[in-house]
Amino acid sequence: MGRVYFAIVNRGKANSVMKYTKSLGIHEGTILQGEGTVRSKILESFGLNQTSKEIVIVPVSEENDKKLHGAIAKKFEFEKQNNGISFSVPFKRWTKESKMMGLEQEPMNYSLLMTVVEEGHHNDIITVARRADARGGTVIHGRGEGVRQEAFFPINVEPQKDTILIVVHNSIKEKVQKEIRSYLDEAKNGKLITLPVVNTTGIFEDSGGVV
Amino acid sequence: MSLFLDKMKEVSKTLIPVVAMVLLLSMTIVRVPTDITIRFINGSLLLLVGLTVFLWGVEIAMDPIGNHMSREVASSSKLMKIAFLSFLLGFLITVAEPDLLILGNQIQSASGDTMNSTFIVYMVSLGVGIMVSLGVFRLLKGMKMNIFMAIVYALILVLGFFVSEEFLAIAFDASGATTGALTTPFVLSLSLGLSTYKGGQGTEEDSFGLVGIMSSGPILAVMLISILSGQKNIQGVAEDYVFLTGIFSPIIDILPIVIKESVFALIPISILFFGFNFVKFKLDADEIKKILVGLVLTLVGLILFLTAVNSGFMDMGRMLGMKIASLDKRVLILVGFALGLIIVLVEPAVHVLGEQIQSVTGGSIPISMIRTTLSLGVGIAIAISMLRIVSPSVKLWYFLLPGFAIAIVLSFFSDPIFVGIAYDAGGVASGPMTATFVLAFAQGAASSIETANVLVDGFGVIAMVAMAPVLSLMILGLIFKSKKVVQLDEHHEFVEEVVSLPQESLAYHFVMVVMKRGYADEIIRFAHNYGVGDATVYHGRGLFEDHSVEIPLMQLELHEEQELVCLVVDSSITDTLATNLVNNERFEKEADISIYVTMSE
Repeated sequence: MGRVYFAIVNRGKANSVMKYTKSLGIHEGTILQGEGTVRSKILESFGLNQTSKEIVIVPVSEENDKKLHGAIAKKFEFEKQNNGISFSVPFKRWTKESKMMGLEQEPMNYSLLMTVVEEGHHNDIITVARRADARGGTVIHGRGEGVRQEAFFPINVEPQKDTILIVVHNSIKEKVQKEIRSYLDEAKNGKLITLPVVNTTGIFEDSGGVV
Repeated sequence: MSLFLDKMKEVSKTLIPVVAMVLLLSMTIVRVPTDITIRFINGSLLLLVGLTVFLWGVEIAMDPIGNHMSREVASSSKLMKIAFLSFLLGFLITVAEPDLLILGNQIQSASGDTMNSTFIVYMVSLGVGIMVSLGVFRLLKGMKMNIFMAIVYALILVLGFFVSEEFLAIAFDASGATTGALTTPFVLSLSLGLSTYKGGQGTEEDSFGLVGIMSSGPILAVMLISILSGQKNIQGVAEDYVFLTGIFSPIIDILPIVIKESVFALIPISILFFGFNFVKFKLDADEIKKILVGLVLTLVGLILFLTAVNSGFMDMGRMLGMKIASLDKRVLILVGFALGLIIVLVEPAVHVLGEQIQSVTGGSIPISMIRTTLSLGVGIAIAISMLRIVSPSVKLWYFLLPGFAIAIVLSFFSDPIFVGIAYDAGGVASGPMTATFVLAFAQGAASSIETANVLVDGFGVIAMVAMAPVLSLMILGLIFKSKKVVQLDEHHEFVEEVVSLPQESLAYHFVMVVMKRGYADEIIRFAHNYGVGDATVYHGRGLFEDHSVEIPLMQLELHEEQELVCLVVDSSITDTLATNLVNNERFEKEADISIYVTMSE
């Protein structure tokens, strides 16, 4: 069973994370650009509370996963607030030989809640999630499938989406899920995907700050 | 750290070298009056805050405005509407540009009042409107940027033979004047929006180039004015320059003018946007509030920035130019080069362009590389400008027209995305910093050298700054292309496979597919065959297991652009889908895909 290691760091730091993973002999990985949110009443009321983040996604073995967690957290001082977090999701890498899907059971205390909504509505999700004691979230911009549309020049309409990543402890997972689901039901749009999380570093519990 | 602090850090990184160098010069080889030095220091602080707030505001307000406006243009089904709307956008943002009016007045006085400044402003705006309109057509129609610009510059080259050197300089300066602090970010976001709506494989390349196309409008307009009116020579001499005195009084004198200019510059975009919002977009209150906050930040930032530059930087530039020129000519060229290297990075639009390159390419083009190349280009441009001031036998057109001619040739061999970026960089680099500080430096130098003409040599500096980055970035594009893995453009149709779907089960799998950029929509269509409905695509950068791209000289490992597709798949069909994806030869060989599967609730 493999893992996919996720690190959410401040913009500009992703390259050094990748450099470190290379030194472990892992020559692949993806970096996405995202936005974090700062908790500040004043900034929030003006909608000015975003901050630039990068999300590093690296497929790793279980053993490397542990190494990565320790080393990256130390290097970027994840014990301090706003410096970043990392977590791992158990993933099976599908190869030509792969047959059946089966995940062994591991102790999983955390979950990754991935909410996909229409562009511009990410703040709502973070607000409702916080109502259920989640700390905050990271927003990644994405898109849906492109659809051809005939205007004078043919254009490709790609529905723009925001994805909000929220990592929660399983003790509050259901509460957060409920809040998000009831928002999605009301908005009649969007979906929530919950993935298991095996390993975490960084600050997840206390209030305030950024995830 | 909030966006504000991020931006402030970024701005201070570019500003500190400028401040350090200027203060070093003013304390060592030249003596600068104390009040000018203090004003420069105050100005730097004001500039730091102003530029930070400005960039912050631009990011919040300009992106959505550009996005909504471009959707209105791109989704139109009538050719005339597309043409008129884009013309209007180009015309309005230019006619309100304060720098253009200043240039108009300069031409008016230089021509001994035979040319009216209002006439010039309208002609130039007309030129920009037409070029923006054509630029939008190019983008939506998918015409290659290098071919388009080759035609435009061929026209400029031909016209160049019929105008005097003075007017050649004025024409290129006019193009620098129209790409102001506000217009450039707006046009950049407009072209980003348009290319997003156009979609397809060329999205990235199309995101750049509109600023470059737009800035050719004024060149053509001024050249045509000169040819049609028969005006060839500039008469008159520059008025004697009087340095401002005092520490705070210049700020107070300048502030009202700057406020007026900034408000006027912001009005056309705002009116257009809110007009359309009222009729068409009808955005909800939250979004409008955010855009309004962004616009206010943009305005405040612009006012602070322009005040800082005009009160603190101009006199300092002029003083340094005067003193160094009378000291030693070689030092002047050297200082000019060094100044060019660092000053361009303080230009507001350079920050905005960097941000856009980063988001469009998912960060796969390192911004530091673009900045270094821009710096080198502008450094050389200013060094050449100083050489021109020092020795009258060196003419502007020795560099200007051949420079563009070489750039056009290179554009056919350079990486396509760099072609757009390069043409944009010309307009981006010649912003308010160049128009004030660098120009003042050049004019100061010219006033100390007997053979130089302040008026004639002053014109032309901006032209050089607008040309050099085009060339330097084209060269970077050549290097980049030779290192990049070639991507296939042809469209591939699938043979529809009929898959018998098992009954729907309750469990779902989450499938993440990572691949080279450009294949996401194919993967999704492939998955549709298996009954997978919804998918989300993310665009980023990264490394692939079996190959990597390195640029040897700069010690850089380049990340390639990647796409990440997330699918939620019924657990009963995961095996079939994943196995067929892995075994698809095209995806394996060309797209370098890897597939990860996990449980989902």
